[in-house]
Amino acid sequence: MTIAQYGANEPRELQSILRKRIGAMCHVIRAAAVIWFSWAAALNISHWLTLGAVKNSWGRYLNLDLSGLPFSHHMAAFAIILADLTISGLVVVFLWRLFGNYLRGSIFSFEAVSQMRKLGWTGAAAVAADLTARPLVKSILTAHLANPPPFAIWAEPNDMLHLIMALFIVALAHVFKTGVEIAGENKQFV
Amino acid sequence: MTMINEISSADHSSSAQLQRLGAVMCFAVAIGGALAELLVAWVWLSPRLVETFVVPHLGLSGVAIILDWTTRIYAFLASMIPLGVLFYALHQAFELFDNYRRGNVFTHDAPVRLRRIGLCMIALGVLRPLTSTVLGLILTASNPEGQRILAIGISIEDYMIVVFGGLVLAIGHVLIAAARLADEHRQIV
Repeated sequence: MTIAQYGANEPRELQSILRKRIGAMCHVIRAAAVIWFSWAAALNISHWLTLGAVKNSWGRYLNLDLSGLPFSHHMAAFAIILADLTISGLVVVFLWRLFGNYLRGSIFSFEAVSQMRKLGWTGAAAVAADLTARPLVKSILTAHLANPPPFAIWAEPNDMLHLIMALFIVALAHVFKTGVEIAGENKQFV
Repeated sequence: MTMINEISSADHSSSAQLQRLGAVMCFAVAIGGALAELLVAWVWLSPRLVETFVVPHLGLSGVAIILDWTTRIYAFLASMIPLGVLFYALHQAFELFDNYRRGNVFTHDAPVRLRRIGLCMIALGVLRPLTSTVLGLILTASNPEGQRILAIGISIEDYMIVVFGGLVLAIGHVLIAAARLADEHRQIV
């Protein structure tokens, strides 16, 4: 039996043994992802709920005086940050589901591949959301100034790293999908 | 016979698609590695770029730093430590996709390479904050006593890289466990 055939057959007994072998690891990676999102959400929300902290940090970042930032602009920028966080949360949801499939012993299955592909594309969407949110927040936070800086989208080295990581998962999902297709076809042939 | 032909053509179509993806990924990985090396070398060659990109990232804005040739060479060498780990991960990714490019889909090699990539990413997540600390020390080493900076900090970015490494490591481990189990099952049968 090969790796490909294992996905096609999956006897219940084997699933149970596999679950025992990889169960702990799947739970650890799920927990690590939840901790990551909780940490990011707690950091962002606690920062954005303090007007003074936002004025200071973004003022320093943009090298501008944001002391006159209106409350409505602060809240509008916070809403964008929350929308951006929601997309990051979806990454954790798909990662949770992918490892849920593995825990059920469903490894080379279309369902697991679909979750992996969604995980990768959501990761890429999260990077795109970051790239869009940053200039939007900048525009909102500087809209009250007499001479606001021009709208510009910029990328940071970490954005590229995150995008590569997300696309790596998309590519892996494509490899797995092909594997499932070939395994299914071979099974039919046999 | 018709069914065999249909299955074979579908099989070939999937394999051909995978081979194309493998070729694209090999190219992307090679270019990505070369760009990363060039970018790091370019930044450390120019004191102005160091002040613009590296100094704020290290939290050294407003701190007196020395950017002579010796300092920048040491800093470049320190930057090469995490970069070396990244190169090893990229090499593993290149070999992984090169196998797919050559049409080798089900090999025992792939899960091992995935595990190595995962371990490299975890190591990278740990090395990044350590390297930042070392860079801070190198850039302020020539300052008088009391003005040298030793800053240690873990960012959510580093943690995210560790989680990604864990994800890839877990996928590799799941595949190895499944393959081993399938082999054991075959021996029993």
